[in-house]
Amino acid sequence: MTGHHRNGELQARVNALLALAEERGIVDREEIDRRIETLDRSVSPVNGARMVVRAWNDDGYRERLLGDAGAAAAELGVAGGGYSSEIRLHAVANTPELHNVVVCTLCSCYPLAWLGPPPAWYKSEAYRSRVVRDPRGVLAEFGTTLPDDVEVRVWDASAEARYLVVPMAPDGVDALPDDEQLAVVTRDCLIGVAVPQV
Amino acid sequence: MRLGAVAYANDVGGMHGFGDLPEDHGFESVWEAQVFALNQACVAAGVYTLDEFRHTMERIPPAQYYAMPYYERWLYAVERLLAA
Repeated sequence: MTGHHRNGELQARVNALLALAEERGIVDREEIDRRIETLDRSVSPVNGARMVVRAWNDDGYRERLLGDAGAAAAELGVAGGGYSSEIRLHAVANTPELHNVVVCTLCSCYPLAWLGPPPAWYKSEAYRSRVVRDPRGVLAEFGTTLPDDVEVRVWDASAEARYLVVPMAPDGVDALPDDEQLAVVTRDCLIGVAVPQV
Repeated sequence: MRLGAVAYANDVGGMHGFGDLPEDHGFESVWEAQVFALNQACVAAGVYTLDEFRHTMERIPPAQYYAMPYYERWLYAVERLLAA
């Protein structure tokens, strides 16, 4: 891990960059702070959970989500902002025969604009190298064991295409109130390394 | 396309020997969140594209790449792209 001295050095380099960006009229400190605050406050995996729970309870929404996930996110007021680029969000649905899991082997592409920054393990060389070679083994490390006859499909995200897994609704979930339904759809379920548990 | 063992340090799909998955944590320091937000702002302002940003990180020589903590790679790339 980064030591205190090293951390100070890195902070100083970032300070120099922030000053340069401000001098060149690209971005000021207030906007940097605003972006960090937005990230903390409103960009989180709960956004993805809301999309999934809505899809569980509304077939029309499910169809729209699988057809155009970005538009389906916007429908729930999930902006997907941050980068003004052409990143597209794709929703991939688990079925009794198919389980989806997401990686970015080349770096750390993730539906960040919708779900917030990825977990540390998602960005690690360990996960990126291994999940494409031994997805069942990696899933088992997360406590997720799939029957042998379920196909595992690994989606390699890119700068342009980000993936969100739509897990199957677990038995009994429809008896739960909305907020408890949301809570079963964890971030790891949206990446595909876990499945919702009631 | 992979040439020889490692053409680009980031191209690790299917490779062996990277060990266990690390513990989960968010931003560990203020500078990490700041470099993250600064990169977002630069892309949004059209200073450079997300692909240029990625490409800059991908060209970090392998030994250096693996020695850098994750967000230091970001910092390295933003420094090069902003100074250009």
